[in-house]
Amino acid sequence: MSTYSFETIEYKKIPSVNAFVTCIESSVYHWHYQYEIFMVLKGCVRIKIDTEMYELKKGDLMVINTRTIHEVKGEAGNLCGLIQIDPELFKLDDSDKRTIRFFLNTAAEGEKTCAEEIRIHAVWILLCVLENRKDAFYRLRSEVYSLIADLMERADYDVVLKSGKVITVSEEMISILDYFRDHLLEERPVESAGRAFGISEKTLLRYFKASLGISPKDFVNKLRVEKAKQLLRGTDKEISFIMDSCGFQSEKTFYRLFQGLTGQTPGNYRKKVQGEGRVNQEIQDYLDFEPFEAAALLRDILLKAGKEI
Amino acid sequence: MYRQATEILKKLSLREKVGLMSGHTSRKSIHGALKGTTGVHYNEYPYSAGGNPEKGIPAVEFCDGPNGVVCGRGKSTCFPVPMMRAASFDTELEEKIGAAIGEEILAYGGNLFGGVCINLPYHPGWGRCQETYGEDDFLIGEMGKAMVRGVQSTGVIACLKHFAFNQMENNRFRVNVVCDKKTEREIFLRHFEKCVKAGAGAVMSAYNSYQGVMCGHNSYLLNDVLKEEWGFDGFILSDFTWGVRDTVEAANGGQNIEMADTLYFGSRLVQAVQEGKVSESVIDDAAFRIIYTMLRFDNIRREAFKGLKKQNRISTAGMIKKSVIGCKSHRQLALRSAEEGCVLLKNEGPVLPLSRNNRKIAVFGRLADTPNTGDRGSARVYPEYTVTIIQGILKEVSEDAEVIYYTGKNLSHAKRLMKEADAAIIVAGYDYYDEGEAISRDQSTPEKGSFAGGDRCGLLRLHEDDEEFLEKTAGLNSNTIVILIAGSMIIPGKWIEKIPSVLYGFYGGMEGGRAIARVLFGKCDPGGRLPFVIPEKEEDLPKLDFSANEVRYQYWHGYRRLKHLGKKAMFPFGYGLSYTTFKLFGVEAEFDREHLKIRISANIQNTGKRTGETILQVYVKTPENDSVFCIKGFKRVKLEKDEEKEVQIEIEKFDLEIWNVEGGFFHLLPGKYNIGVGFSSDEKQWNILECLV
Repeated sequence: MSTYSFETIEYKKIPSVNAFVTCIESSVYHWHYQYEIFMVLKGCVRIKIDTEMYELKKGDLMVINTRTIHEVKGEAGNLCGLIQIDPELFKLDDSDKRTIRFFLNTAAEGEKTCAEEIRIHAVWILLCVLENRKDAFYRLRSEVYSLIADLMERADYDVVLKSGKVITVSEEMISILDYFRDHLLEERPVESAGRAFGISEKTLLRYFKASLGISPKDFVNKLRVEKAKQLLRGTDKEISFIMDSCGFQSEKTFYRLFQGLTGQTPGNYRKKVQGEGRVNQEIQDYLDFEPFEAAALLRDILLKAGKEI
Repeated sequence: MYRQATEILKKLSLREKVGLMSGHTSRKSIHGALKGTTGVHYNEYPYSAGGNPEKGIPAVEFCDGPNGVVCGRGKSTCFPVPMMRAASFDTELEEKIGAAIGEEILAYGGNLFGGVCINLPYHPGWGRCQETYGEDDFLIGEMGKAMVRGVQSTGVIACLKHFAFNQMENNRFRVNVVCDKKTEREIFLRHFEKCVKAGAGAVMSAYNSYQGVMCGHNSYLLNDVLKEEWGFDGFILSDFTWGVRDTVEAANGGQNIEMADTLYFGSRLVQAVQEGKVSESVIDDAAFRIIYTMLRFDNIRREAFKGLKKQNRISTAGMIKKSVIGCKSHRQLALRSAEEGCVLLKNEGPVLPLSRNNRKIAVFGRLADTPNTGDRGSARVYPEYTVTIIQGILKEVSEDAEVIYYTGKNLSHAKRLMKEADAAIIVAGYDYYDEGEAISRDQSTPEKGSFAGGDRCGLLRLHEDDEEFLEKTAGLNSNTIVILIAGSMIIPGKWIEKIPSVLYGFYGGMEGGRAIARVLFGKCDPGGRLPFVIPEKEEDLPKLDFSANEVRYQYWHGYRRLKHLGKKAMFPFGYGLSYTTFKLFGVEAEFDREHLKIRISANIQNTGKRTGETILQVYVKTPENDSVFCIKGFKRVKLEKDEEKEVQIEIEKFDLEIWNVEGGFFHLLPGKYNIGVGFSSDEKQWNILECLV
C-alpha cells in the first residue's frame, strides 16, 4: 500500500519519564513499574538482580526491566544517570498485554547489542534535564521515543505473555516485598507475611532464597537499617526514636545489625553524613552531587562518539 | 442451453465475437497492483473479460485464489494453502471449502474462480508448491475434482490452472518443457483430464512452452488433447499479459480469451480473420464456448440461489449477502481444514499433546508471532485477521501459565529459557521471502530484478541459523517441540534425531495459529498425513535446474522415484502420527467385473486411549513392467476410543488405466494387480493382497 494515513495520537495522561543524575549510596531490594536505563558516569556501582551480581564501572549501561527486584550499592564518589520509563510507552495499544524483558547490560556477557545507541539517547535525555536547554521539550520526547524504538528494533529481548490473571512467584515476591515495607514495625513480620499470603514460612524462605539469595529475615533487617539511615541522615531525632520507628526490638539488636550492614555505629554514621550538610532526598539513599560535573561527563560521551552537541 | 447459445452466436458480428475473447483490465493497473504502486492490491476487484450485455452475454469476472478469494481487503476467508489441505486427504471438506469460496466470489460480484491450481510439483523446490495438492497425480486429481465440484455448485466457474507443465517459477516465461508421451499423459495431464471430465468450466493456459510451442498457442494441448480427446466444452483463458504473444498462433492454437488486457486479440484478431490467416470457424468455436459456459453457469447459479435463500444468504434484492464474506461458518471450515492438515512427524515421550500442567512455556522463532498465510503473489488473500501461533497458544494454556517468547540470537539466553521452561516450542521454516510466486521484493518500488519468493534452488533445508539453533539447543528440554512452517517439503537436519516431537504446520491460513495450538494441547488430533515424501537426501529426487531454458521431465518423481530406485525415505508419503493408535484387519479386495472397479473393504479399530482420526490408504501396483505402488484410494476415518468401523474404498477404472504407448490411449491392463492397504506408503506396514483383473 502506498497511501499513508497519519493520525495524531492523543494521550489521556502523559506517560511519565523520569530522568536524573545522582550519586548512589545504596538501596535495598526494590522494584518499580518503570523500565530503568542505568548508566554509570563515574566510579563504580554494584547491582544485584536475582542472584546475579554485576559490577558497573564508568561507561557501563544496563536496562533494569519492569518489576524486576534489584539491589544497588554504590562506592563513594560515584555518579549515575537514571532514566525511568513508564511501560505504557512500549505498548502498541490498549490490548497489548506483552511484558518485554530486555537483555542489555554491558557488564554481562553477550548483552551488549545496541548499547551504544541507547547510551547516546540516554545522554541527550539527561543533558536536556540537567541543563534546561532551549527547546528541550521536543528533544526530550524525541530522544525518549528514539530510545524505545532502538530498544525494540535492535536490543535482545523476550516477551512474557500471560493468558489470564496470573500470579507467578516473581509477582508474589513483589507483593511480599511491599508487605514488608508496610509492616516494618511489627514484631514478627515474616510470620505475619506468611499468614497474609497463605504460605508457610518454609515456602517463604524458599521463594526468597531462589529470587534474592537471602532469607526473609535478612531482608527485613536490611529494610530496617535502610530506613534508619534515612532518618539518621535527614532528621535530628534521637537514636531511640529511630530505633522504634524502624521496628528494631532492642538497642542491642539495632546496633548489631546497623554495624553489621554499614560498618559503622548509628552515631558515627550520623556524624559523617550530617557533618557534610547533605540534603534529604526521598528516593532511596541518593546523595548529592555536582551538576556541572555530571554535564561535563555527559558531553564527553557525546564528543567521544563523534556527535555534535 | 446449447440451442440458446447457438442462437445468440448467430446474432453476433465478427467484431462482437472477438470482443468476447478480450480481457479488459489494463496491464498497468495489474502490474502496479502487484508492485504496490497503485492504491489497490492485485485483484482487489474482479477482473473483467468479454461480455456483451445487450446480447445477453455476461462478462467473465475473474477472481483469483487458491487460498481463498483474493478480492477485498480485510474480509475474505483465508484458508490453509492447498498443500496443507492435501495433507488432510479430505475431499469432502475440500468440496465444502469450494462452495464457501464460490459464495464469497458471488458476493464480490465475480463469476469465475481462477484458483484451482493442479500442477504436479516435479521437484519440491518449485516456489508455488504451496498452491497445489501434493506430489501425487491421484491425490491432486481427487482434491482438484472436489474443489471444482464445490465451487461450481454455487454457479461460479472453476478455472483449472496452469495448463500445462508449469512447475518451475523463476523461468516460467521462458522455459520449454519436453517429455515422453507416457510421462505426459500419466504423470502431468491425468489429473487435468480428471478435473475436466468432472465438468470444470474453464482452463487457464500456462506461460511456459511445451515441445517447443507456448502453451498459450499450443494446438496440441488446447485443441487436440483438451477439446477433442477430453471433450472439454468450456473456454480457455491465457495466463496474464505474457500468455499470448502472437495473434494468429494463439487463435489457431486454440486460445479463447486473452487475459487480462487485449493486445494481440481484439482488432488485430479481426484483421487476421479478414486476411484469411485465421478462419472464422475458430472464432465461432471460441465465442460459442464462452457463451455456452456463461449461460450454463448462470443457470446453475439460479438453481444454487434457491438453496442459498433457504440458508438465508440471499438479500431481498436477490443478491448474495455481502456478509457471507469471512462469515463464521467459513472461518470454521478454515480452522477445521488447518487442524486436519497438521502432520505429526515424530512424538517421542509422548511429549504431545501438552497437558495444561505445563505452566511455563518458552517459544522460539520469529515465525511464531508472524501472520504467515503463504506467498504474496497473485494468491495472497486479505483476511480480517490472522491468528499467529503465539496467539493460538495463549488461548490454549491454563490460566496460570506464562508464555515467554524469544526470537533473539543469544544462545545462552535461549538455553537458559529452555532449561527453565516446562515445555519448549521452536518454530522454524519459511515465509513469502523464501518461496512463492516471484514478486518485487520492495513493494513500494517497481524495480526489476529484485524479488522475493521464487523457487527454492538448492535450499530444501531450513535456514542456516534455524538449523544451527536447533542443533545447539536440542536435548536441553525433554519437552521440546519443533513446528515446521512451509508450503512444501523440508529435509530436516541432524537435529531431528535429538528432538522428541516435530509437527508440520504448513501455512495454515487465518486460523492456522489457532489450529496448531489446539493440536499441541490435544483439543484435536493432528489430522494430516504427508502429501509428499521426505527423502534422506535431495539427490534421491529428480535433478531440476530451475533457471534452465529447456527441461526434460522424467517419468519418476517424488515417492514413486524412491520406490523405483529402492531408496528408503526419511518420512514416507502418506505418513503421519495420531494421538492414538489404530489396528487394521479384515482387509479384502475384489475386482468388480461388471463395473470395472476394484473394491476394497477393511476394518479399522481405535486401539488407543482417545478419539482420533486416521487416513486409510490404498496403493496399487499394476501388472506393467517396472511399475511401483502408487496411491489409488484413500479415506479419512474418525474413531472413538475402542470403536471399530468397516471402511470401503472403490478404485475406478480411470485410476487404474495406464498409457498404451503404441496405441496412444489409456487402457486397463489385465493381469495381477498388487494392492497395499495401510496408513502410509511404507510397504512394511501394509496388508498386501492380489487382485486379478
